[in-house]
Amino acid sequence: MSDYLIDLLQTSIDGLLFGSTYALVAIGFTVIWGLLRILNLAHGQTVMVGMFAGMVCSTIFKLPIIVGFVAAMAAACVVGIIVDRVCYRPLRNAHELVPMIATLGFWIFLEEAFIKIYFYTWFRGYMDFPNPYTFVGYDVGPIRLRLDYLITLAVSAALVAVLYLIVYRTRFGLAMRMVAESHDIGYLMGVPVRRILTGTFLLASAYGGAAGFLIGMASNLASPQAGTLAVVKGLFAMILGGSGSIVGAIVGGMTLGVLELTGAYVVSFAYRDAIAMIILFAVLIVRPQGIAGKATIERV
Amino acid sequence: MSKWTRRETLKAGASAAALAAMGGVIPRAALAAKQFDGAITIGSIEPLTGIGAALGAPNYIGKLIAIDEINAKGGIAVGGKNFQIKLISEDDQTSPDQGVPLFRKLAEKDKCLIITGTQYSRVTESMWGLLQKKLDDKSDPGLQVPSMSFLSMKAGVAGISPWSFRNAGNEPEQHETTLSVVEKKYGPYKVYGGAVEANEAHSVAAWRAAYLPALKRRNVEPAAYVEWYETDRDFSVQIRKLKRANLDLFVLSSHFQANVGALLEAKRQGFKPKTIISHIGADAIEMVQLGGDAVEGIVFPAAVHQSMSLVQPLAVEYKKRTKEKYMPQFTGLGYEGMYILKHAMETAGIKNTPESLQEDRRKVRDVLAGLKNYKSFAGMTLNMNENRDIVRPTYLVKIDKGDFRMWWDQEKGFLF
Repeated sequence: MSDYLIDLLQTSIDGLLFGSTYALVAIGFTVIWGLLRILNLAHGQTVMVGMFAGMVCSTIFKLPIIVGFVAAMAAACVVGIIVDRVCYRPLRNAHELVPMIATLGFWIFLEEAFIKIYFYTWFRGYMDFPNPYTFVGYDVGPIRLRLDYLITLAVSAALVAVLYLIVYRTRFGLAMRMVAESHDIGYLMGVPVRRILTGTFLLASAYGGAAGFLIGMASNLASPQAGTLAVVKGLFAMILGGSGSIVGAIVGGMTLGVLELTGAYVVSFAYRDAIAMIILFAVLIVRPQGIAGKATIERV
Repeated sequence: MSKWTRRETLKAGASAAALAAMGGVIPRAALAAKQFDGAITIGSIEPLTGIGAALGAPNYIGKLIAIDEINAKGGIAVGGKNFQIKLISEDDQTSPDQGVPLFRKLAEKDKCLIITGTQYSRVTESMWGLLQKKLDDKSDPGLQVPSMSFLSMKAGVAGISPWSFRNAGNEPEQHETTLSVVEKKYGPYKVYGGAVEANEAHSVAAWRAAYLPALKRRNVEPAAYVEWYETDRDFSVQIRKLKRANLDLFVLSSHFQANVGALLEAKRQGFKPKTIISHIGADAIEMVQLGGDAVEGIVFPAAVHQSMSLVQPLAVEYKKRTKEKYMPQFTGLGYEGMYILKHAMETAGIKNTPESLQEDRRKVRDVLAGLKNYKSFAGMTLNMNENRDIVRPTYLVKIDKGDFRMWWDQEKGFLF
């Protein structure tokens, strides 16, 4: 195999592995979208806060990775509850754009606040996020598999499996699916809709926190701006894969990872984002519901 | 004693809280009761938060240390009177959207005699776009306030307006020196290549206006060239391309945020060129703290260095205030800059009255434009050139055993 093809294969695999973090971010978006039909633009901040909590545990308190990971999910859940109570619940009867704008405001507020926290606490714009596997990898023929990327993929896969169990094998999941169909029918059937929605925010946020931890660890640093990047990548992945679909979020996230890296490799880094965006347009023209989304017909 | 504005009080409170949070010593000298005949208002715009904070914050601390010292020693002496320096500080968050209105506010509302900053090129050039383009052009409604940046390395930035000045060093000269010195020490090199932070004005300008011309003078075409963004997290594609090119001299026109990720990836892939050089964006403690031994051996230019005997007292004070282990050159430039402005205000013979503000601004501008043989606190002699850039010697720093060590000095040669 030529060097070019080997590098292309390596790049595709790296993209696939790293894309699993995008998938986790997209899952958070898609779960909220599926249930509430609102874009929770504050979801990126669960990623940022998860990264922050993980960094504090790892860098400041030198705690084991698993503790940092759990703390990241827990901290993100707190953000999720706040978003639910502040941006959604009081505005649930308002026009659908209103809670979205509220989450936008929350996003900006939290990012600004954490920029100040980083600066005034550590005199820094970034903090070190230790990654014990930075230089560890396995060679499979000419291909190098980074251990931290493999861990990211494995954890993401495990979390997706857990999500499936929750959604399709628990009463909570059954209630979630009912609420996704119609809040009103849910109320009529005796489903505690508000509690289900809060639980959904918690679930989505926990996945955001997990993504924040994994992204921080893989990139060796924690940044207060990480949430903004997560919003861009997560929304892109969700739409590409199919809004409201968990499978779509996974497919979209991994496709985005591959597109970004192979686009940079085959064409040029300068057009990396443009290439990904053109492909998104093309996919949406052919399949407006996204790669794995279901087409819906609305009869008037 | 002039009245403090609410914003100043908030800023002072925030700074005090920040320093207290870091366990630092809050400067008392500036707060000590001292009899002044009034205050001279100077504006400060810095990237205190956001992506440029690693450059802006140390610069700001340097300014504060200088102002504390100046005020403790009687302030600015003009016409037999002593004026306290009153600094109105603003955070541009490394964003032109923030910096431009702040610059206008400092000039028009706060009526600052001089505005210092900002230090990130893309913000500085946006702010200075508000300034008058041609001196004494009555048809040009641009702001007429002298402004000096103590960084903003992008080539040509100071040329935006006759009111804009810079004390940072000449970047094309810095990189020519860097290349020549490493070639002398480790050369000859066969394969040159580079990486550029494509969304950062200074890094792009450094590549185009400094590195590429320097390579052209050597009849060298980069064998490999890659781009990335300062916010990127995966550098595998770019490093793979550079590795395939078998570089032995790697030019890293990029700031520490991306440098660290890229160099960790370089280590991961076993990409190890003979020499790596970078620009002043590598001068941040985060390089060694985040990059560890992956950043060892990088050489970059500096305008001042903490190891210089005359700079050491400043480094001690900086470390005391911030609890940092290393003082980057930006602190020295900010500190030195405030003393240059003191010299300009005292030499210009300003009146410092509300009525004389515009006249005073012009006088200070003229003194700055004609600055010659100014003796820096660090010992070097500084001169303003026709492009309103202060000409200063270049030193080279090398990251060695996790430390930023001065590696080369024009007079002494290689130091280790």
